[in-house]
Amino acid sequence: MAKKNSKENLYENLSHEMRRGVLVLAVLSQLKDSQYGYSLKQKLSQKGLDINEGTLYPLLRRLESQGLLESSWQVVDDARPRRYYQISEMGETIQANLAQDWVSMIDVISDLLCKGQ
Amino acid sequence: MNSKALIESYVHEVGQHLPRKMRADIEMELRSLLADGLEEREDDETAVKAFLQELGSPAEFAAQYLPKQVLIGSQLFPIFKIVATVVFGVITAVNVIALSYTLLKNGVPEGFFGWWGEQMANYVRSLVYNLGLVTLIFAVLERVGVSQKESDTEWDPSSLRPVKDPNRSDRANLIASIIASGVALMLMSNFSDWFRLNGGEAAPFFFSPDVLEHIPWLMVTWGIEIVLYLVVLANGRWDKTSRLFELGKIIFDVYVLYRILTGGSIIIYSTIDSIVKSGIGIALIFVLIDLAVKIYRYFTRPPEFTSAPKSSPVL
Repeated sequence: MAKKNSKENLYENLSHEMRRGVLVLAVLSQLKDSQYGYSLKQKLSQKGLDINEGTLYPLLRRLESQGLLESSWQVVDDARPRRYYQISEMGETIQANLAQDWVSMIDVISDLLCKGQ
Repeated sequence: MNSKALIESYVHEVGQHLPRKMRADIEMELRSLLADGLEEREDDETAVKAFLQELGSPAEFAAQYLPKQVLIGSQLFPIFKIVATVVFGVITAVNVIALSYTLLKNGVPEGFFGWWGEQMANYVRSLVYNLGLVTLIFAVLERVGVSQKESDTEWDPSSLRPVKDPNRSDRANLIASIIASGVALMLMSNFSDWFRLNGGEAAPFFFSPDVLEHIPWLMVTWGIEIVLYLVVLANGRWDKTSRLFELGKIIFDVYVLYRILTGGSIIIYSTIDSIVKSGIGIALIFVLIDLAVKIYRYFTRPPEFTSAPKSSPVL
């Protein structure tokens, strides 16, 4: 039983690692319009990518510190203040490059998986 | 605790795990996150606790904002390793020299092993203190952002050194040892005759008759050495069995040296006898260090070198 759990844990960790690699591209792609953290989480979830707050919020902060996002505190529609994020000019360039890399990688991986079978 | 108090406690705890300069900003964002997340849930303590559980403990949540922390990073670590090795070597050398000087000056103390244990404890204390200091200095350097500059020159594979096989037998060394042990055996087999020729008094070089009781033990140790080295020479390399025999031989050597040290006089003149016994004491220390190193290497030797490969798979 312990062996099975460790196998499941290993799979989960590796799956997490794989997903973590695409989070930056996924987040950048959805921030052409400004969003606050929770609305972005909802949007990604509706499109099939679940991401927890503990991962998303630090990621947004990191991307901002790297110059890929811009943020500001805003009060919209008399709601409580929220921090809104939007992709920067540099972020758009990098997102476009990452998207190209991603498309190339899909072809390569698909090819590897077909040949491997 | 009510919901609002629970949320405030959580936010405060997360903040405590963050550096001061980012604390206020992240706390504000976290309050906003919690308010948004709880909007769709029941406004009660159970729902708040469930949501906080999903976020993880305050330490776990805060850790996501912080870069991975190491005591000594990969850039400083190679220099740290060199410095630590040098410090270890210097402390060991200083201790060996100090012990040797003590033995030479005062001779072998009574209760040798008790005295030896005390010296080892002092040595270990000195190592822990000094290596701890080196680690602390490098940890501080890591924190203040001092790191090795990346080299501008491209690495050249020709600079790689060949790997030495530690188990390959050194033929010249083994043959020399066999000859030396053989000569010593021949000399010792005639030792008792020297006493007979001197009418039972001191042999040449003023050896004391007490030495006679050690002769058989010395002959056994040299005999074992000759047999062991001949086997290794024949095989062309050391293997697990011969290494194990080597360890056994060294333990036997330790016993023989201890017997000579704690037995009767070696030289009939007491001053010279003290000097000779001190020399044997120092030799014993070096043999013990050699034994410790060999035992360590025996258990940490890479498996591919424990026996000659039969054939290599084609890659």
